[in-house]
Amino acid sequence: MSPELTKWIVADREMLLTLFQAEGEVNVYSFYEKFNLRPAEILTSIRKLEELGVITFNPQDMVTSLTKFGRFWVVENRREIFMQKVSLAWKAPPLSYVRPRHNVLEPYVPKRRYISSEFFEALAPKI
Amino acid sequence: MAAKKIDAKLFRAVFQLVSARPWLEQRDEAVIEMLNDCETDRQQALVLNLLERFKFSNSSDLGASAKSIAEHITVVWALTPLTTAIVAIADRNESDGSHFLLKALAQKFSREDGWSDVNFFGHITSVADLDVNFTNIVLVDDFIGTGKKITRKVKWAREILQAQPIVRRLYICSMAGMNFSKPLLNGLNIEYFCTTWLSKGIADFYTGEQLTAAIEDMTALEKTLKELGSDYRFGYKKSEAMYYHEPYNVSNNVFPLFWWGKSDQRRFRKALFSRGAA
Repeated sequence: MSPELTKWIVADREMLLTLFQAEGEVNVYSFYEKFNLRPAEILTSIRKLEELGVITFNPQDMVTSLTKFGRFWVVENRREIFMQKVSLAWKAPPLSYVRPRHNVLEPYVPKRRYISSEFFEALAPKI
Repeated sequence: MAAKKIDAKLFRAVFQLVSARPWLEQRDEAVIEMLNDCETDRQQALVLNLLERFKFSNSSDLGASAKSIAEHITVVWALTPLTTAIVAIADRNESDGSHFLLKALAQKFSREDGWSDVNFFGHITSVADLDVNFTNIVLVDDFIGTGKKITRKVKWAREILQAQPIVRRLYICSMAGMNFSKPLLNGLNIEYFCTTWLSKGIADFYTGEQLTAAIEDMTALEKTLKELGSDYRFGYKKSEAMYYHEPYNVSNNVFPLFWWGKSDQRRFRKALFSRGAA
């Protein structure tokens, strides 16, 4: 059974992707060097992923690797981990600035400047 | 701005330090910045060694400390609720660390034994108009650094009490105190109790050549701290304290390397702790 999915942070994603591509042990220093992850961020992700049984960590050699189960788990959960929809609530304009949408079934008067001149030319009687 | 990158060897040291000390997890960038500011490996080793020995106290430590102080007051000193006033040493209109310890202490005294809010006073000025039944006054402070502040408060209280017709006995309690303040406290000829006694971070730890080197290194590191007054070098009056109780203000007795906000290298130094307005 797949472990319960928790919220994945950037550190988790970067580490899992690196470990998946490496196919072996990775020194945790590389996460700091490559992705600028803070030691505490790396530590938090290691603890989380170790608890899930996805990775193993050797504090003596400072290396980590995916477990056999972890490799399957990454593939199985790739959508949730790497393609998680990020909420862009900050990007949307405030509702007070949003104009009400027209009902597609109701007639409306379009703005002249949005209509191509070809449309009017087509309407004119042919001489 | 993110701190400059450190090499693999130093990263390993920081990582292991942070792994073993959860309180550093939110402060790892400040640790990296401090190590980056070092000019030699020896200075970096000193900073790491001091951080390893740093005493960090949190809410559960506060609870344990308050419990042991309450036990000392009721069991060792055998003080009773009818005759005892527990007083924070903050002046009137002042808010300081003695208040949080007083609040925590109040939780550890049992109502069933007769203790109630009438036994606890938020300001030392209360000493002047205490009920006549309170013949024992326990002065409370969160931290005793040089011991000068508590000495000043005791002397002030004594002057007030001398003018009163009844004899009252003073006591001192604290969560943490510096060992070197003991001679000053002994000179007051009153009983005192402190949950944790702390040694000086450098002078009481290193000896011989190592001591000379550590003093030299700390002096060099403090030179990079902009506008640091001579009174604060190695902590206030050279206290060399390594103690912090979260989330309150760090004491100025602590090495300024851990809390001073300005440095020659950058305008805003990312210090391990900050000293706010109070």
